[in-house]
Amino acid sequence: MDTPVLRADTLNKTLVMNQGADSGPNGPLTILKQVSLTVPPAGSLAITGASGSGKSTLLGLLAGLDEPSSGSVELFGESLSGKTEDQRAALRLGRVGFVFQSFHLLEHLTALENVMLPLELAPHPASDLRARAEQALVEVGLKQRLHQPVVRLSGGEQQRVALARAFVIRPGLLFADEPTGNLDRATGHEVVERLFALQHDYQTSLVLVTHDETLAARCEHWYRLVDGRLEAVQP
Amino acid sequence: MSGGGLGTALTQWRRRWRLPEMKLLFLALLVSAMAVASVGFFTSRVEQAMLSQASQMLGGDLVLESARPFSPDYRAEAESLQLHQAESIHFRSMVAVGDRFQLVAVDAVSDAYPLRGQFEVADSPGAPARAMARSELRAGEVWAGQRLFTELGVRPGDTIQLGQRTFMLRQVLVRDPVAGDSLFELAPALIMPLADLESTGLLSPASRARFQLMFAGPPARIDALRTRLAPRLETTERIRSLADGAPTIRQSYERANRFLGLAALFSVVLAGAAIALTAASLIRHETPTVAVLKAFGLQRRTILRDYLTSLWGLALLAAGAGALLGYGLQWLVGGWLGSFAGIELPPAHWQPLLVALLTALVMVTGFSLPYLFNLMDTPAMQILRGNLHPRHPLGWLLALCILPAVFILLWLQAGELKLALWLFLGLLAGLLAFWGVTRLALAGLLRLGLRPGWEWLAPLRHSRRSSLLVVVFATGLFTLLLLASLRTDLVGRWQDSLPVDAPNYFLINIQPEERAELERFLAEKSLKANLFPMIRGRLTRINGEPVTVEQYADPRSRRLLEREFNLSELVTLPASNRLLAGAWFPQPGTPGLTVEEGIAESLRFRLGDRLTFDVAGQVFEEPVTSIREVRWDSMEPNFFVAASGGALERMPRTFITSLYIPPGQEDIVSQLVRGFPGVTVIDTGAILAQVRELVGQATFAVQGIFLFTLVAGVVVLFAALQSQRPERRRELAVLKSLGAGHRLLQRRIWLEFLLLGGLAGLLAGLLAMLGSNLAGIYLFSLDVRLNPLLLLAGTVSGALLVGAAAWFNLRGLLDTPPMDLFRG
Repeated sequence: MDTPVLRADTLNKTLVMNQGADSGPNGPLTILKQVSLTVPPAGSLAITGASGSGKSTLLGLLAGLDEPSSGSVELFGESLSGKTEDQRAALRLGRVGFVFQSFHLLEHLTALENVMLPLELAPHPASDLRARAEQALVEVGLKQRLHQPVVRLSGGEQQRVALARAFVIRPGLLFADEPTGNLDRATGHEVVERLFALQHDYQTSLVLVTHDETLAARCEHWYRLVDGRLEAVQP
Repeated sequence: MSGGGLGTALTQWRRRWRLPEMKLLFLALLVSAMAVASVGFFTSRVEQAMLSQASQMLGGDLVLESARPFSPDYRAEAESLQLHQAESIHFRSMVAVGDRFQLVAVDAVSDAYPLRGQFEVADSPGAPARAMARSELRAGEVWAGQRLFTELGVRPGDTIQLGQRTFMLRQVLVRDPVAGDSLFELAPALIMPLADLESTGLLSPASRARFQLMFAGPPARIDALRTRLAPRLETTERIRSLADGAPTIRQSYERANRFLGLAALFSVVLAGAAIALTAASLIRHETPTVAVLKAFGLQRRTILRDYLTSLWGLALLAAGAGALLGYGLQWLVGGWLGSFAGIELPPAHWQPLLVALLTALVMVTGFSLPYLFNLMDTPAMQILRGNLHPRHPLGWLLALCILPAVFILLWLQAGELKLALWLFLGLLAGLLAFWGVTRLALAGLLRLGLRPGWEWLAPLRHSRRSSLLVVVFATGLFTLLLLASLRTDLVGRWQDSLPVDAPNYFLINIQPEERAELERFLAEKSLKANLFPMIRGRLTRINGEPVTVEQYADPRSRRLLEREFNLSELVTLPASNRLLAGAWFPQPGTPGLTVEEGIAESLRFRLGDRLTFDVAGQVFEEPVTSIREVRWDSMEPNFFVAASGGALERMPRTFITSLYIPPGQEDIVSQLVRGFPGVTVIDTGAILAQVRELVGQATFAVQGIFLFTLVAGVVVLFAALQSQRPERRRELAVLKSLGAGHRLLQRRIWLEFLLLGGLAGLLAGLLAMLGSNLAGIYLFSLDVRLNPLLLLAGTVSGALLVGAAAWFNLRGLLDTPPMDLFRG
């Protein structure tokens, strides 16, 4: 069997709200309990849950944006435990893509420049990065919008730019955090179709956090976060 | 963005340039560099002009003086430094024409004399004067002052006998630029070629003469010469340079210089505030970007390097452009001066360019680093949680980066460590005072705002934001008010000190028996004059101990002791004097002496010391009861040591006075000379004209530089407003969505900023009142004057200026639909 792209083992995350209190309303708050999961290469996994159930916290731990209270995460076969923030960042560089609920495009840049950004982050940027970024935007149907400042694009178009930005590096792993959360139904549907198409084309592993159970059902694995624990759901 | 080399860096820079904050930062840096550079360029030009004016009175940039001929080594030293040299020997002698004799003050001068400034001569007494080089005087010819022609009844072309040879009186000497020093020379002046001196046989090793060697050249080489010569000087030799030139010039020059320095410094502080505010707002804007980049895998050191590269690039570009603009601006002002005011300024030095570049780099680094460190630490998790709020840098981090930057800026401008340190501490104390008082005042207003009927104070509720605005506005307004107040005082004081009717003649050697008649004569001519007794006495003992020249090392003290003091009696403290220590004589005839500050320092007199003087064989002893500061540029008789009115009645004396004789009435002088043959009349018009020219230059510089500071102040105002614009935008969006109309919001904005501006202005006025008095006393020797007008001016100008600027800055947002405001 291939090495999993992502593996989490008995993750716990506890927040200390008020130092000195061991229990009660001001005591430590356990958000995640004994969470374990595995994402195989080119596999897809959805995490659903109510608001405040800890979905984003889990995504942050899986991506190495935050550290667990206990347990371990392996990204591309490398453990994140004991690594500094910068070492964890180096592990993501060029291999991990993100799609955020609020798009988080850089407002002062054009669509093309936003997509070129992850390519430029590489230590030795390739010479054809502009062509690759253009191609990525063509693939999400924004050929006519390359040089538009992103603030002039509609919500759906902005999220498509975000998709192009995520896939332009041909990531081994893509984290999508409520990718349709800020979009209307029709636009959301279009974005999701493109997301799965790209994931399939590039054989990217996908970790998808969403409210939308229809969307979750399209993934190979589906977990629901209830009371800090993961429960497998049969798609 | 990462390791992509110059090309990628340029791409990133170009993209980042689209951020409005980058443009504002550029503008703030540009204006600060422009202010620093134009002030620097202009100051350096005015400074050079003033130095050259002062050099003229000295005859060179550095002058060596001795009672004996100099060792040829000194000249060789100057030659090795490629400095220009000139030489003069000053002595007194008798001139004979037939059987008539006249004592003259001879200056035997070399061809190059004077190295700075020019002689002015006239072809006959009363004819128009023109500039002439000493080299045009041929062997066997002399120039003589007008009085020699009057006293001896000779004309140009006549022959005079001087020592063993005869000379032809070529022209009338109207102006010797080096007259500042020998103002009280009693005998008419006579200028002769140095090469002719030997043939007169007048100078023997025993003769009393003053030898001078003058040098001129670039300041660095002059400094080098001073360093080389200083340790080798004999005790009878001394160095004089611009710094210790004639007191008349020095005081005006120093005051102007201090003001210019202070103004330049303030414009830097103001520009620094603008840059700090804008840098902070830029970094705040970049927080989401950094969170995204970190999620994509960007490391902290890369982020820091990227931003610093961008900011340094921006700083260099802005400083370069600002320095160029600053150069252009001062060039225009200099040209204007030349064509309208008739003042020629020498070309500027290039150093201000370097200072502008350094200033911009220090500012942008020091003021943005704390925010950059924070930016690097933005948790990438924030992007998932959606709470993309910039964090406030820790207090110690701010202090660690900003305080050294401010200190370096002050140092760069002040040019001296000790002064920079004092200014730094003063600035800190001022800011703390502003902050404390602002918090207190706002807390009071907010408490009041909770009461029914006072709801209109609600816009101030954002107390942190309001405090920051008040402190920034107050700092800017304080600077402007302080400079405005000092400028008015300073310029007014200069003009007062040299009124149109400032004395242009001195009368000395007035015998007591002539006094009444002379006073009558002057009254008839409607001339105001105050006659002071002049008693010549030698200081013999201090506290009973004999005084000898050997007890003092410095040449000035030795020189003072070798000569007789001009003592006087004073009934009231003259207007041009200020009491520094002790008490003024309670009534005429009281025992005691009042001593000038400089001489007290040189001869180490303290209050209570008993001084013994010998006046032509009569001895008196009095204690020092007060120490005075004397404004030497007043052109009135001033005395180093004086007793109270009538206290020295038994001592032999003459009288001295100064007069203003209006142009066209010079015949009064002839009548005076004829009617009172014993009285010596000295024309000080030439020196007065020099002082006036200097004051004119200084006044203009002060006014011009104040304008630059004003511009820097306005930029700070806008930077402060701009830094809070995103927050205002959100606030207006919420208020609009809640139903607030255009008029209500308009009223709210005006009210908030009128209040904040008024409060800032009031605080600034209070501190400026204090500051201008402190600066007045310690830096400019001006009188203490509490000017309540500053409070009113501060409050009103603060309210209006801040209100109008805020309106200008925010009015666009009022017309923007709420949805667009929300979108940002």
